Amino acid sequence: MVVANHAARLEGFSISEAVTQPDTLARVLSSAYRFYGYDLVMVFSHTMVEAEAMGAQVLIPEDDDPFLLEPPRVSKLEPANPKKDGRMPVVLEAARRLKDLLEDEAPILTSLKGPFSLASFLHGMDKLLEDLLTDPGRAHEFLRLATRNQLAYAEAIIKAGGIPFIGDPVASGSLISPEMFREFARPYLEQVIRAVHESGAKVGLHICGETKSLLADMVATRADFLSVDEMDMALARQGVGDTVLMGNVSTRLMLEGTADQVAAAARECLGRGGQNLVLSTSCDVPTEAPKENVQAIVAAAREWRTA
Amino acid sequence: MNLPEELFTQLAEAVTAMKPKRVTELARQVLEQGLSAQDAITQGLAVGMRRMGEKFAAKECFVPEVLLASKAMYAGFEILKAGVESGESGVGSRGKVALGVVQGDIHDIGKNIVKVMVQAAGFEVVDLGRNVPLPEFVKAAESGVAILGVSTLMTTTMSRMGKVVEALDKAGLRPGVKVIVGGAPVTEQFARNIGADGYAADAHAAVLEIEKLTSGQGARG
Repeated sequence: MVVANHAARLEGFSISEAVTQPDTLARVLSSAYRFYGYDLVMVFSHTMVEAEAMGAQVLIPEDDDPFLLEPPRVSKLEPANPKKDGRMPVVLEAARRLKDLLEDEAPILTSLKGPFSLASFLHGMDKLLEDLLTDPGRAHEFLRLATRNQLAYAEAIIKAGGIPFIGDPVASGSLISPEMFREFARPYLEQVIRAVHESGAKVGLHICGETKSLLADMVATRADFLSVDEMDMALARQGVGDTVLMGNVSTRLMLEGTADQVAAAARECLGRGGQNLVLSTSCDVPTEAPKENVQAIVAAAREWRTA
Repeated sequence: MNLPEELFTQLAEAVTAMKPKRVTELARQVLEQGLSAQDAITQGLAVGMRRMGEKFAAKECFVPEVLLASKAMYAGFEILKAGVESGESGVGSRGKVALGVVQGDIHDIGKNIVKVMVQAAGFEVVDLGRNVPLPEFVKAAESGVAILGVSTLMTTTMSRMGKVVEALDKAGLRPGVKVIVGGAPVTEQFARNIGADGYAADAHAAVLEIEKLTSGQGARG
């Protein structure tokens, strides 16, 4: 389950404390893991970690989700150094500490942005999307730069004991066509995924929004597990074959629904998703989601196992 | 010399073809020929933009195409608005609409598309931008807008939309100002739950909903 900022809230820490201090981040993530009893943890500081390390302006409110203010304003963009730039070291250090705290009992996923999304944060989302049609050469330049950054960051994540979990919210079927995905998103995802595999590690891929039209291409990236946003899990299963599928109880339901509704949605997921399913939410568990709703998912999975 | 209808059709086509230069050229012709700039906007630019919205809804095109069509539409709008006399039943004459993306969310592509469509339909738009703090929404409502459009793309910031409605209620600004909500994670049910007056799934629907709410028969929920 992708429990990020929600974990800080659970432990009574502010989001800004958790996302800027590796000790606190590792501590809230391991506590949430023990409290809920799910099967994996996910290190996530904020969506813009890589963009921030490359010079983007990110605002970190005292107790709210950080967000991007401005793309980097430098004449020549360079890949960041994961050891020292921005909050990359926070994420890496938190992953290392979790490795100690959990003594290898749970996989430690670590958030890595897809090159397409990172390029959109670096160039500006509107600009990147427009360039796909009017200046594909410039789009590819940003994508190559983003990919170089992600290759280095992925390597650092693996060294820290993490499993890169690629989130590519902008390379979404809600925003771009499958043809655009194939030309501008998939080749760069493939590069990163190939490099991770060459280091002997596993890697996952999550795309937000509409993914039905992208399933075959997601499989073609050769990611070891694929996480999908809200959609019929039976259709998702049909689309990905035997690949491990992760998802997809609605985050909206996590926020607004009752524990019973969440449990029913979780059972539907389990029933329709077939084998090789990691029961999870359709995106990050919302910060303000009631505890009971997270517990309902874990309980549904445990009951299913023994059913 | 073209017939006005022909020129307006060409304008609409140039918008859907995402050709700002062509739109600029045609808009100049409208003014040179002394045709109604207002008609050129509603029967030309707006028609093109609406067609783009329909194509997007049908997945015949995607956000990049819509962004470029918006740019083309604006190119024409900039020229034609000079030809619309103030006071004429034209640009902004149908009422004032404020649009903003809630604080914590900087995704404004959807809001910008809605803005283009709403302007094209003859409303004046006050663009509050993205990452808009709660008091800014209240201030806009106090400034005499008929409609306040609030959006977010993220589930994490959805709860703030309810806070906007609450704040307006507290300030005694409703039902004078109607609130319409939208954005990827927002549903009609959610809109009803937070007490919004209207909901729209996309930019085209937003225009229809705003028209409904400003026509005086604005059914709640």
